Amino acid sequence: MKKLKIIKNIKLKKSSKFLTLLLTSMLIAAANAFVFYSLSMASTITIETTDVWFVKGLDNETAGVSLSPDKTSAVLTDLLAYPNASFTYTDPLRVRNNGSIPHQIRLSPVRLSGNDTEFVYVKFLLRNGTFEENATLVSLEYTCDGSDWIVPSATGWVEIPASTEYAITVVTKAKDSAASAQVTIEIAVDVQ
Amino acid sequence: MQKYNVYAQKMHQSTWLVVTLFVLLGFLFSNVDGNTYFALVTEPRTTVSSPPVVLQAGTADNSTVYLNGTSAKISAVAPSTLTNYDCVLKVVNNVSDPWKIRLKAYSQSNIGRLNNCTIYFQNASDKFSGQVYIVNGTYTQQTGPWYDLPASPAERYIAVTLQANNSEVSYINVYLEILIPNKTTYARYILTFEFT
Repeated sequence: MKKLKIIKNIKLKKSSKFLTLLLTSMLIAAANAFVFYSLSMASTITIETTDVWFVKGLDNETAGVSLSPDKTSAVLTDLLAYPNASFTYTDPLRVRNNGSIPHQIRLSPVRLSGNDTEFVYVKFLLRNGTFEENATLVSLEYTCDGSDWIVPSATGWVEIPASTEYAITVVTKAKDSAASAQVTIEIAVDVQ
Repeated sequence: MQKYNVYAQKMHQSTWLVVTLFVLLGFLFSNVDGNTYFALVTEPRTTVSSPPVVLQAGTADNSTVYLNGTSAKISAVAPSTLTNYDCVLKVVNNVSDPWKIRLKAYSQSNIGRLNNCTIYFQNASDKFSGQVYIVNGTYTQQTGPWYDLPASPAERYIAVTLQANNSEVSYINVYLEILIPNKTTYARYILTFEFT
């Protein structure tokens, strides 16, 4: 009986020690994981932003393109949409991989604001080729059903080889009866 | 008995240790894998605007121009003898910028009956510019060369020469492409030709 009590005490002591060890391990694990994540992100950004950035394309003036100093963001202020006619800016903005290794890129939606009744669509195409060629790699197509925008999902990943530029083509179309209206669509080019 | 329990306890601890390690590794991998990309951000602003180039009915009185002048339907009889329609549609520039224009046939139905069909640009001062050709029911040219549309006031005519071998109906859907010179920015208007 006494032996059994001793064994029980040992079990309890060991269980409580192990539980403490487990909780401490998980705490350290979580802390380590966060530290590692932060370091990893910082490291990635530092490396990647020197490799991939925006450059202005042939149609940058007609589209009103301006780039941030580090070329990681771009604003296109002068895009037009005509009633019942498509209007294509084949080469307003390009994504350049300036590094020596390929990267994966994709287009993804971020934010949309403004009119939601006067447009038919605004499309963003990632292209590799002249405007005469059917050179679309992936597309992000926002369509408007007359009362709301239908926001697309992010495109699939596409490889951009080293020292290569892909154009982001923008195609717009307004309703046949469209009057004055404006929409701002923010998209991201994800790079990995 | 005591020895057995101590061994069992050690086994139990080892199992938990392994499980704990897996949990730990799981945390690490999920955090690293889920955050290995960054984003370039672009913010395009699109504004609805009046079209700078519009379509107007031609002198042949056989076209319907739709709202805002960016699409049209052209109807013409295709007889058994070669017939010319000088101006089925006008392309009018309303702004001070010049453009380049061309026609591109992108779909059709029942064109086998057309012995001869030529869709072309012309005006009083410019020469003829053949854009779309069909000979004996087959395209010999679907996309025309670029043609100058000067700054406003300026207009160019779309004309048609036709000959068919029966009285059926043919349709040709054509883009009128309007390009900013020396750029790759262009508009597309849809024209439907109905030849009876």
